[in-house]
Amino acid sequence: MKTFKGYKRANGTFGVRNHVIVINTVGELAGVANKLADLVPGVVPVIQQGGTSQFPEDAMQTIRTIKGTVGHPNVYAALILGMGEDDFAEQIAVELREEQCKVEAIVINKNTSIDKIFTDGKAWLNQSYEDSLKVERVDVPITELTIGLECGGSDAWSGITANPAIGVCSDLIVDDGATSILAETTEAIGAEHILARRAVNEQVAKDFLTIVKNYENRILDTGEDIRSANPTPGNMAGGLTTLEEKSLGCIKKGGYAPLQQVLKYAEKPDTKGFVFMDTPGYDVESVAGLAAGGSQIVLFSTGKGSPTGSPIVPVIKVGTNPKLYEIMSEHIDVNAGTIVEGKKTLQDVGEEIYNLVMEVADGEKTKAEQHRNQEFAIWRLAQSI
Amino acid sequence: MSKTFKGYVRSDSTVGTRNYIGVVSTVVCSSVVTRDIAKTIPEGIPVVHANGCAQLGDDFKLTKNTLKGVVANPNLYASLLVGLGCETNQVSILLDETVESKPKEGFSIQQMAGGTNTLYEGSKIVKEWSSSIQHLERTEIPIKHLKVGILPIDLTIEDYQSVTNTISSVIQNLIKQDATVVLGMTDKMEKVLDQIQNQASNSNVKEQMISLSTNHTRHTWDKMNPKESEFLQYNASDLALGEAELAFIKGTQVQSILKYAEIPGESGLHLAVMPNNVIEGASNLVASGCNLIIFLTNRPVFTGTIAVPCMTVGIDQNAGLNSDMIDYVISSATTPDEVVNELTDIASGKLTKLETYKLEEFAISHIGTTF
Amino acid sequence: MKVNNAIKLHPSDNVVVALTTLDPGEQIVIEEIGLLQKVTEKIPYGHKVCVEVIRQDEKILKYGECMGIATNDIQVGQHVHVHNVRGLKESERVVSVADYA
Repeated sequence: MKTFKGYKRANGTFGVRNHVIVINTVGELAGVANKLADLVPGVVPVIQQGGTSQFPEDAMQTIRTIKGTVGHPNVYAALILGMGEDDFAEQIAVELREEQCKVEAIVINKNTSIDKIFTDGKAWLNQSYEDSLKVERVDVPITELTIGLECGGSDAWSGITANPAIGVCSDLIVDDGATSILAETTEAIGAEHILARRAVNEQVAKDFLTIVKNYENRILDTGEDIRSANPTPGNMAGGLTTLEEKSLGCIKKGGYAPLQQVLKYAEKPDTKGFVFMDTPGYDVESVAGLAAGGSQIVLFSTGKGSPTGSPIVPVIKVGTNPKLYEIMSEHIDVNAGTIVEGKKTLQDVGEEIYNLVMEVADGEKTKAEQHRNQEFAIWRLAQSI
Repeated sequence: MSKTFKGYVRSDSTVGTRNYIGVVSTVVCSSVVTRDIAKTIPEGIPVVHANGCAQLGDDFKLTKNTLKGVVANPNLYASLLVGLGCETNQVSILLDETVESKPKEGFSIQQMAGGTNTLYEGSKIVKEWSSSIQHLERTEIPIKHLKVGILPIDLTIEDYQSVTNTISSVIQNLIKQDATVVLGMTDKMEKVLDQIQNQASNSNVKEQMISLSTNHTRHTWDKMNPKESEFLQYNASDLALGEAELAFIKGTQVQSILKYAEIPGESGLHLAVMPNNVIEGASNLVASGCNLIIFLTNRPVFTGTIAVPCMTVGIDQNAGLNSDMIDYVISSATTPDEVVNELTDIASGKLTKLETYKLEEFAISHIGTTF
Repeated sequence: MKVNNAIKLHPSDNVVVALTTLDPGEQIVIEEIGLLQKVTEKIPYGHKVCVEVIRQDEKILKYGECMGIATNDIQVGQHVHVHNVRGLKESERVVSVADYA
């Protein structure tokens, strides 16, 4: 049985990082959360701007995402800042403590002094951070690994090099008995019937077609028709002939494995293998959902170059073309441009990505981690009230 | 009695209460390098947010308008736009559409071939601007150049009632001196706007008032879930809250109703549609051109917004309010002159508590989903 | 060793993608599966070239899946793009129970 070196959590999950985070439940506390993170070097701020004045379904999704982030296996300990009587910080803390997660909630009311927030918060974070340094990695069976799959800043090569290479890696991961989550529902439009045919049963196929249909309807409501607008003239100049081809190029990040389950945004899979999560094509929101759903590492293909990462999961950037690596290697971890140059095959690069996944799982930092790219945003389902 | 304050006069004749250089990210992907560039000069403020990509239609327009509004805000001397390169919200297009009256530049990480180069080039530009504003001084200027945003936050009926006289007098005082006042409306106040339709300055405004009180203005984006849209119901006590806020402006003519990030076309009183999310609300006021914002509240508020001083005015009925974060406590006994004096001091440079703590956030409202 | 100038994304594909612009008469080189045919037209980089005869109304296979339908007969070595391929109709994108994995 293959293993990686990870951190064992009391609830039975395993992390590839050991972060101490501070996170705000409502946007108003974003600044305070940031300042607290500044006070204790090494603590990671996870900042979002919603959490209040939201319609119920939207609020539930925000809470689910925050809970999934706070209770994530890559997180050693978390401080949640909340405010007011209706705040959900305490509720999340209580639920996660039942799973033995190290979570503290500070809920502010109108009598709380800001200096006390900083003093108490800093003390807890300091202690947690020092404790976190004492934890050692142990051997973890590879079946405990979940990777998320993402693309951003795509170009004409994305569907030819990086995405199928990520697909090779995804299939290797699934063959190992681990889990791989494909996302970005927007990109499946056009090839949804192909992915649906790979579902393990009729229900999963239906679930998948439903989320794609809903997505397309939302787009139609704005007056845009994705089917007739794609491929764009730019796409066609680059070689894409049909919408099916464009969409296939995106979903090929998921390889050829059968589709086991369709997840809501930030929902955790209850199965191993290849699954699909309903997320927008917007990178930062999608990665936040993949992470909250349990991905310990995210593979991210890019053609034009994207620096974004995540506060809690290492994001491995796979560049699609040689020029990108030449000019922006500071942001790229794997150069799939070698395929364009005819020097390597898809299989070669797929295995290269797979090997890097193992090294990153063991602790090697990605470029995004080195540059402290910790972007975070939660997908909204409705306007603020 | 005509009051004055000391502000920075811009070349387009607007007046700033602060003097900043904005580094504005067009999309969240450039937020890290945006912050890094802003840190290289003392006057630098990062304008970062979670929007800018995968947006369509009116939602996308709103993101652009909000950013354009921030660039145009009188408290910003100049702005550097920083993007990634592939986002929906293209830097080159936004740059063209922002005001011509101020120094502005823009480029993207992909154009500059990476974050390091972007930081290097960006800091060069902002450092040059920084040295050219060292000589700028405040000049004494009539109060009519103030654009004051007022945001009531979590107030009860008793809170409103205890300060109605004071606040409405402050508003009237400012308007008499030709200043601009933008009152942020809670969603509850929207529902009773028809009660003051005779205060509308023209028929357009009147129609908008009636429309807001009868229609849904907050939307979910999944038509498959109609229950969500029915979630917003307003009962008698909600409407009473709305009426209590309405009392602040009884008798005062309303020049316009502003949608998110809309800029008032003239001085006087304007009512702004506002989300109840504080950061989004305050950020909309910045985009609308306010050079000072008042948070009217019964509790500490833990963030202000970027570029514009947020004066926290506390209503302390039970004397239990922690005053660390409060700039000014008012009660029914407070005279409007006292409030206006404090206001002009802050406009002239006195730091608010939130500015001292450097708690400043910016967020762009969504009126559609991301794709 | 010749360096590849095209890529076949799946063994069952009837098209390959040019990794560099190919001139008429140039040989497609994909090391792992042996040398293939010569192209008969100019193929811009990133574009597709036919490697097995495709009759009108037959499927264009890429990634092992149907990515479109031929609108004319396409000969080996020809450019495969919008002039001889169309997208699928609604009725052609059916998912049936028998298809499940």
